[in-house]
Amino acid sequence: MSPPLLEVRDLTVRFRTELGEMAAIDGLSFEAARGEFLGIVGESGSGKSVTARAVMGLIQPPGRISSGSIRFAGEELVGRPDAELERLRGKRMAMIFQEPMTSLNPVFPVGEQIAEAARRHDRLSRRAGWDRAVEMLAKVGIPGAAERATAYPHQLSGGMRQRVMIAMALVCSPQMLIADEPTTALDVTIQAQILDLLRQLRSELGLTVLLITHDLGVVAEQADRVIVMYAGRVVEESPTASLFARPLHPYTGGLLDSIPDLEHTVEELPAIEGVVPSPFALPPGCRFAPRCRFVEGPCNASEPPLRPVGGRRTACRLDLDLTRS
Amino acid sequence: MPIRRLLRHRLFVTGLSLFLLVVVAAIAAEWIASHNPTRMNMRLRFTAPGDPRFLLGTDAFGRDILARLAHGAQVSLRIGVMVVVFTGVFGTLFGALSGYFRRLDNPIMRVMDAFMAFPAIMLAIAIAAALGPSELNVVIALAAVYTPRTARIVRASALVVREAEFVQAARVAGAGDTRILLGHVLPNSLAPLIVQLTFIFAYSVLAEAVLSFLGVGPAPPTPTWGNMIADGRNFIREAPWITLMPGIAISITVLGLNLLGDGLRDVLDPRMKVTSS
Amino acid sequence: MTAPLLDIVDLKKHFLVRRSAFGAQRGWVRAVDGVTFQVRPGETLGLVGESGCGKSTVARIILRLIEPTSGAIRFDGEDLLALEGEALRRRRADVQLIFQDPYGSLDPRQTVEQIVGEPLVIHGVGGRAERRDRVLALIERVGLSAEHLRRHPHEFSGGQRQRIGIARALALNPKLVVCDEAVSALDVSIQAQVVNLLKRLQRDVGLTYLFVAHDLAVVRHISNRVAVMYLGRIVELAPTAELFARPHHPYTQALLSAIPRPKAEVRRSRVLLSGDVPSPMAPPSGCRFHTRCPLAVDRCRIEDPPTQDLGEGRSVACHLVRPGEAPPDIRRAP
Repeated sequence: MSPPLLEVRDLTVRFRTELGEMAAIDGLSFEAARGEFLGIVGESGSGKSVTARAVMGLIQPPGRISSGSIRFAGEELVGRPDAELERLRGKRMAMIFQEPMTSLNPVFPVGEQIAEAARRHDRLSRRAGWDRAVEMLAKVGIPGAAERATAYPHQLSGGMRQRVMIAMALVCSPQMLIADEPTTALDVTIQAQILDLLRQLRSELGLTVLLITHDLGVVAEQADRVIVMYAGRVVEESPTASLFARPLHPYTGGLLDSIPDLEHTVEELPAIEGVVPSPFALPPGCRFAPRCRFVEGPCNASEPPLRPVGGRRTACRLDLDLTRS
Repeated sequence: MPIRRLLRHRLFVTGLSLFLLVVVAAIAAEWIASHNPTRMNMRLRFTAPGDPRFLLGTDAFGRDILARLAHGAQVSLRIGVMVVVFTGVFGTLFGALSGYFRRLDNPIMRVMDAFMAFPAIMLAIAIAAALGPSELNVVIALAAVYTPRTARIVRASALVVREAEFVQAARVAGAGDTRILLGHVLPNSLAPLIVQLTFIFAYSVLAEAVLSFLGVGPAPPTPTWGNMIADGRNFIREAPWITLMPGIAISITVLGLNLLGDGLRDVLDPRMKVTSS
Repeated sequence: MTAPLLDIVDLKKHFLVRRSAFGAQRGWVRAVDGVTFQVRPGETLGLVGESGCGKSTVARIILRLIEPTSGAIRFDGEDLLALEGEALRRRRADVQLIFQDPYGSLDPRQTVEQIVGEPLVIHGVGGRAERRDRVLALIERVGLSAEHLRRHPHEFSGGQRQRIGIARALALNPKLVVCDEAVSALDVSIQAQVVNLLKRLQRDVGLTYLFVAHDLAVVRHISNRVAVMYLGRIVELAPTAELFARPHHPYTQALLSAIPRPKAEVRRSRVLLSGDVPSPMAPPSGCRFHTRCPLAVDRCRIEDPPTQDLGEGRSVACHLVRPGEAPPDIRRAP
């Protein structure tokens, strides 16, 4: 078995705020194998976006990586000077974001923006860079790529812009693509197209994909493995099929329950009571305990560690059967 | 409330202290200055500061500079307050109306633009010179100059708030324009307005000094910082303190107000959204 | 059959665009282009569609926040569009709106008590003490408590702010509440809480909802009937279970097919629509959907399909739907 492409160990990222310093992610550990499609799922305050940015080296003050390690293809990323990280970004790992309009420069044609990435990282000539850009646009399914490359971002629809982002991310053939909520701002029919494109590109290019999202449906259809985050920690890690068939952690179970089903109706959605704890007022024991149906005394005593359960991992002390019908 | 946060902000506290120093000096003018600010004593003219009888020295006519400074502070502060009140009232009125009612926007703002086309000090000089040298006329001149700037700020806020969803919510509940203006637009425009007014206070103090220096401010023998600088202008080499002291007083006041305004702006806007979840 | 509470006939709203960012000349955005439907008292009608379909515009017209270009709206038997001034204001008490954005829909300078009490003040309901009691009852009903009255919006989470918005909407005892993407901006687990609350309130208070949303799963859970919109028109309307079990219109089918399911099942074969949603400034000729429809025939390119009433509360606007025959299926595209 080849070594994992990405290894994150005990990563802690802290932010200084008016109310003091808090840990947006706290002791995070996970791996991504080469060619794997890993989904990172969580709601607000889970720390999933911070995770993505930390891996890309995009944490700026008032945030900082306070401890832990991030190894990419065997090389340690934490503590590397910005100049070195810049070489890695775009060339070996790339990222696409939720809102393509704010990630694209409005005053340059999209072809230019893609070409610039190619020229910088692969040292191509002007002409060669442009040709590569057009090639990528065609690859991401934009009709009339040569012509479209001269268009400005505002002249394209949301779905097109996201395709441009993907083209820009993949133009230097990175090994890993991090997608932070890439389809949240898109209509569902366009979302389906983009996700399909990602899957197609992944198998063609042998990409490792990290998909950050709050949408469990998206993850179910695309990912090989899923990590569920809550209040800055991993609470469950599982191959996709078993996560949805039999979740191990009550939060995952509760989350799945609260999504209305398209096939069956229920009178009332079983909702998780309460709200995510503030990072300044974390419970003493398990972070999910105050909202958990199955809570017992020891749950509040100390934070349960992430433990292995037959090829999966869970941060719940209990062995619950949350099998879903 | 933000008051606690304000008091933690170092710049704000520094600015506030400096400004309060001046305010206290102005209020307690009678007690600080044992001498009459307008009494001349030709034998004691050009006394250097540090003299036990005249802490900050005397001027060309033997008048106590400390006393004149303290009374001048009264003038400066009075003018500052009045300009702020006038500008606040009219600036808000014009700004809110032009920002909220599309049809009033052009007429009102073009008139404001006309006033803003003139450099501030020149306009103030012109108005003050036309109306005659007095405190009230300085106030009128400065208010005319600064109202358009304030109106702009309030208008900008009004434009943004007008489109906010909570305004739509008020309309859905049946609110009319008056209620929306008074209940929603104005309260949400307060923060930038207050910050702007602290800066206008500072500009007024400076402008009044300029106007007095040029002779169109309150008439002598009333001491103002501006005409004190004017008086000392010919003696800069022999008795620099005559000009220096009012200059320092102006600097302290303006610096204090600016720091105060900066602190207010940092704290009030943008409001840091702290979700307690 | 009881008379409808809300009766909308051929509603249209065309926005004039004076200057386009693309440098093109002026044109009309046909945001709402002939919408007809009814809402019966006590029911929840879901209005779904993707961005640009016009559903939010329809909601705002009903609330009289925007004036329509043409069409008729009857509310509770009265011509809603003819009302002005005081009469309109009094009518507003019967139709209220819950907004999408929990952060923008509450005035940051007001306390919860002021926010929820404002409608009461506007309509001169009771004295101060009476209003306070009423406000307290309202916020308790939505799951908050007396201690929250003094607080400001920024002290609450998104879900709590939505609850405040709901309390405000109920202050005047409305008959119809329009929910404009009321849960779309909330986390999934909070969404479930708020949806449950909305359903419970409807039962307890006897409300009628027009639920505008793009999330079909949530719409399915809360609606009795669903209307699907595309580029300013309603393409299909049916009772909820029917619509989801046997969608007739190709767009409805594509929409349902595109929704990702959180299920542990083999990847199903989905039908993907090609291309983007056309601009509402230049809707396609004939049937608006024909440019993306896998089943389009020549007639679809030329003629705009009329809305057919298929009985049992179902209506569809598609040439390929014929009464008595099996409906078209996009999975069997030629």
